[in-house]
Amino acid sequence: MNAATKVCWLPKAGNAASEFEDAWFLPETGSGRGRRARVAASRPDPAVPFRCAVADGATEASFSGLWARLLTTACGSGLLPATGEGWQHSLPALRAAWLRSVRRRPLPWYAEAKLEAGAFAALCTAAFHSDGRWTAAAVGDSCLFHVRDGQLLTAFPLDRAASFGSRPWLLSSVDRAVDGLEGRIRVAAGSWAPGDTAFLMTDALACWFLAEAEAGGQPWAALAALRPGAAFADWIGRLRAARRIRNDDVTLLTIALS
Amino acid sequence: MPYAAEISRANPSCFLFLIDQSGSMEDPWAGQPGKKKAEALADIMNRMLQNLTLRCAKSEGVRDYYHVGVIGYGATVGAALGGSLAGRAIVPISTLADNPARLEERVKKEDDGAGGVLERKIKFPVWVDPVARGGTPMCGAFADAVKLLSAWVAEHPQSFPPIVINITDGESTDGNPTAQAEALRAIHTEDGNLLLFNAHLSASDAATPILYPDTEENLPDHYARLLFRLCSPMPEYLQSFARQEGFALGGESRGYVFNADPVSIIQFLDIGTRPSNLR
Repeated sequence: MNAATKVCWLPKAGNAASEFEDAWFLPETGSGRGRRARVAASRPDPAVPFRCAVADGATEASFSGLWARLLTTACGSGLLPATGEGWQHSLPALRAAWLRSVRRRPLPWYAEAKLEAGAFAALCTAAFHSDGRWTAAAVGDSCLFHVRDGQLLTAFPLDRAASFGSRPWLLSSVDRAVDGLEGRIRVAAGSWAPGDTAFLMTDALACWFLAEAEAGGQPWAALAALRPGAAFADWIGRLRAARRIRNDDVTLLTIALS
Repeated sequence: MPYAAEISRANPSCFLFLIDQSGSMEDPWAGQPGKKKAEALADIMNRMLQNLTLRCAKSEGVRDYYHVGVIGYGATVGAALGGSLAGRAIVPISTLADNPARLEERVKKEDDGAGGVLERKIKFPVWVDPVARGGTPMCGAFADAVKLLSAWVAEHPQSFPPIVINITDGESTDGNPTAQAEALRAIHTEDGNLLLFNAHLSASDAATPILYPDTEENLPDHYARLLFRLCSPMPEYLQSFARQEGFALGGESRGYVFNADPVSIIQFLDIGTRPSNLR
């Protein structure tokens, strides 16, 4: 299988690029966090699935960008597989890595207090296998959309624009017995064919995407035509100005499968 | 649409707290046996300031989503923050975060997940200490707030309008504050009128806590009814957030709480995604 990929990202208006709290993983670029826009083509090892992921660190928590990066990197390495299996066994090591990283320097009282609450992130990961199968797993409101021949085949894990709220259940960097990960990981599976396109995106853009699709539009056509960088920033800027998209960090992975 | 302005560093909002420091605050508070009203108020105030700070705390520091002020009224009317912020009426929240009067060590009790209780030491920032002296010049405090916030909205015409939270035992001694409260509620930005909340701390043990009622009928005394009438109606925007937080609100709910912790008021303002599993 071949995969032509494109990464578009933009911080929330008013925030610096260094404050961007989304993260992604693609095989040829590795784990990213708003460092550069990428367009790439890859021919992965057929024995290894093509893994990709997006994560969205929650605004109200601290060190969420770091947590989102750790999660997407773990998706890329297979530590958090796109079947949702074994996540509860992998998360303790990721949580420990997060804590080690934030503890590297002394923290003021408010950062200590935020540390106790932990960081939070939504995560959506997918794996495309050379035999034509795909699987996906998600927690929260980052989404995967699978499009074939101008038809939306799969919207996952949310499939209605009205399902997006400002209080999603998210993956926490602090283990709490009361949280109960069980039942929170959503999974999906299907088959892909050459010519299909998969889009992974964080919540603000995903909400717009579903609203457009519900109104009879073909939002995937606009996304497929977008160029990363300034063109993407202009396009998102217009949507924000028209209040058609919430002002939030935005990440879009476009994966054209062949 | 009013109350729709995004709260950001470019367009911050403002919280001004008016705190009753009169002699009557020496009385016990029905909301927490063994505690004087002045002590309860200082605790509530410090927790609200801590909560506001934590909402703006990010990996790199505290973002100035809010400007914050505390005016005390008792023997005098004036700025009530302690320590190095003494005398400053309104400060950016990052300045507040970096300058508590002191950090106390307190013990926090937590569920250990196995039916037991864990005790853990935490740092608790203190900006305001209990004071109970003199009369209750609520009219004077409202008049000060009108001056301060008229100037603030002139500098921030597009911001989410200021929120004033008056915490008192309800007995104004310098007259009926209705006219000053009206003047306060008339202050506005392009996004809407200032929102006035009253948190009423009473020694009356007859009444159970009341949050955001939509009628004065069940309020226990004439002080409570007066404070209810001084409050802003809860705008639809805040009502929907309050409902998301689990409060049962009527359509005519007002920003009034009786013998209850008003910390929920500051949680209703949205500055971004808040996970449902973050408590």
